[in-house]
Amino acid sequence: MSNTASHTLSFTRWLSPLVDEATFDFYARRINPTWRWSRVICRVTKIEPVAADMLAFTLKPNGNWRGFEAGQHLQVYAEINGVRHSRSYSMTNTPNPAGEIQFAVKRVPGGLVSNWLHDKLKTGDHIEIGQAFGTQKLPCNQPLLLVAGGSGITPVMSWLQHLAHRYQHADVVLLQYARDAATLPFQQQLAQIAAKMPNFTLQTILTDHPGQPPIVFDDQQLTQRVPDAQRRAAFACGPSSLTSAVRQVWQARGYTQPLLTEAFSPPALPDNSSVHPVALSYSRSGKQQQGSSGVNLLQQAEAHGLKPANGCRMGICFSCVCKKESGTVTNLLTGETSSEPGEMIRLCVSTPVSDVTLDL
Amino acid sequence: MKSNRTLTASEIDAFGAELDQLRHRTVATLGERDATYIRRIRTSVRITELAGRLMLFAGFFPPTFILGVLLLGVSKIIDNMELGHNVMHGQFDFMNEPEFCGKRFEWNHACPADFWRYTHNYEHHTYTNILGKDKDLGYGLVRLFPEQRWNPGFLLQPLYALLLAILFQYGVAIQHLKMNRLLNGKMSKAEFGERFQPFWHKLRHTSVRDYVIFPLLAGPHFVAVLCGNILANLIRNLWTWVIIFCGHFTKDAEVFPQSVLQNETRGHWYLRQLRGSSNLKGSKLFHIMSGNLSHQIEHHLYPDIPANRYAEMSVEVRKICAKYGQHYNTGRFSVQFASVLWRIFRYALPNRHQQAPGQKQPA
Ligand code: FES
Repeated sequence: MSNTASHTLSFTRWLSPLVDEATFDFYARRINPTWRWSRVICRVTKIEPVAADMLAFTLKPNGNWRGFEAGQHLQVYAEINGVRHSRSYSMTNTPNPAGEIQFAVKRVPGGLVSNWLHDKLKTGDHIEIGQAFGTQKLPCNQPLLLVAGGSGITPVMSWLQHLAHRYQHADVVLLQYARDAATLPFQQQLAQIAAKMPNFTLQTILTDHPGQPPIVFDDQQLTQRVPDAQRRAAFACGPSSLTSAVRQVWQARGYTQPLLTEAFSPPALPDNSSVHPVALSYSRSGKQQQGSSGVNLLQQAEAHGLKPANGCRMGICFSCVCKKESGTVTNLLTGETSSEPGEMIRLCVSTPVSDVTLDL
Repeated sequence: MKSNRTLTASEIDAFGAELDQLRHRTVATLGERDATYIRRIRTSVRITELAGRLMLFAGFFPPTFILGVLLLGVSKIIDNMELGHNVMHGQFDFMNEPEFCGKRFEWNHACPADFWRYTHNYEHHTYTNILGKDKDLGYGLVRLFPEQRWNPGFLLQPLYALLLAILFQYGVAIQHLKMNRLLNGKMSKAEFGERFQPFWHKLRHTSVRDYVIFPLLAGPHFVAVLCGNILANLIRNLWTWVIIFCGHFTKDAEVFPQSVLQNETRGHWYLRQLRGSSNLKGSKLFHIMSGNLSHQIEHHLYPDIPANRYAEMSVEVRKICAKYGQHYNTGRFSVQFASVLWRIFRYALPNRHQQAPGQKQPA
């Protein structure tokens, strides 16, 4: 981490017998909108378009921010109609003396948070984020092949800037995919990186051409574009169709060079119609089990050997409330389904609709 | 006198379904309005606390001292009732906001929030007014219903009730320690010690703050601030005791035997909550000061729905009750409270015929 513990607010220990965090925050934010006990509040310092449907936001976080490394992600919080939503985005810059972070957001048609960020957030506003997370590390001492589809370019931007800063002579090929020229993100920034890195090659591939099937990544394309792929460590980031295509080619060719992939998949569509098997992951205990959409999550977690707190088992007492990290669940009391990442759910009255990860 | 029509099984289902629909209609509209409401409540807690403490710092000068005590008392009442009690029910979990997360919220009260979440959210709300299961029925000190077995110890219960009221914040905390189980040997010393730890921590934290740190900060006005804080806590204790006793022990409130739990349907559960709870009429301010427990019936039907919705829901709940011929127990504060006091005095004495509980529905 770049600038870690030095910022830890030691005054909190002195104040804790007098005021709690909520009381402190209540007053502190009225003095300075970014002051908090432990939460990370940022001022938006810059918003710039990086493609027709993509904006890059530059933030200046308060002292509670513990810094980040190239290729990490962050959680961005937005309160919309009284409900706080969270989404993760990748950092698109590298640690810098100004202490600024940048992330980019593609407008998702119908997407609640991405549209809010595009339409409502303005320079000078304040927004809350979580600490950086994610531990993917690219090898820096060997030739690289980067494959990015759509907004999959975002962590790649962070890597490239890191390389441009520290390893100008690195041998890097970037295959960048986008539907058309207008949605091809970060072209200006990539040109700047190319100017600094003599051994950097950018190859853009536009996938949509009127009257033709979309162009996809395959073996032949790789041979044409990157004849020396076998000597490169690779990182692919984008929709799961792209990352799995890369993985397949890698396997078919029997490559032994490291391959990292990161897929940005849309949430699985809920299928309420019938009882079906789902995968249940328990992040704290590191377990993954096969579950069913027909049984509440409390019973299933217990059947899988966990002991979640519980009481009434009928949705009254809130003893069983647990953070759902991802996935879609149905609330049996209201019949509503929700896919909101990070929401608190009552296990005893929630059934999984898709694969679900719980903080248990 | 009240009258409750005896419902058939299918009527009970229909009754439950109508209450469920009201829930769905309300939940579908939760949002900005409720978030703004709870934030306003939080603001009022903070401002009254700050103002109260500042006034007390001025010492025993009567106008500021009295106002300071009242403001601090009000702050603690709103913190415990409209803010803490409701947030800890998870009513504002829909916001996904850590500050209003029911599971994490901690209040300005000697009872650790985790104790409360167990004894209140789970025991009391699940087993409302079931003899032997709902420990809130007199807190083991007071006999309130003829169905509870009498013993000579209850003769002094008006006195116990007064003591409980004065020390209510500790009473609520101690409830979770289950001291009687330690005394009759059902709980090991070790287990008791484990339960005692968090209570001790919270007790120390809240007492040190109110009775040591703030008085010390006041310098020469140490004694004034100390007394002011004691009085503010007393006001809070008395008021919360009164409101809580008015919730389930008024004249027409009913108790139930444990047998009702067998195969209890959702409709039955609603019916039991309705018959075990009682409302208080009053102004908007009164509802806020009582943490909307003045809408005890709605709160027990919908403990997880933001309390600021109870007033409008009560109109519909009343209609549904009327439709099914069920008594809706509400009344003026003075009348309801008088009936609670009557119970405390009346059932200090034995009754001639021991009554079996819950002779009527829901059974
Ligand atoms: S166990 Fe009581 S709400 Fe789930």
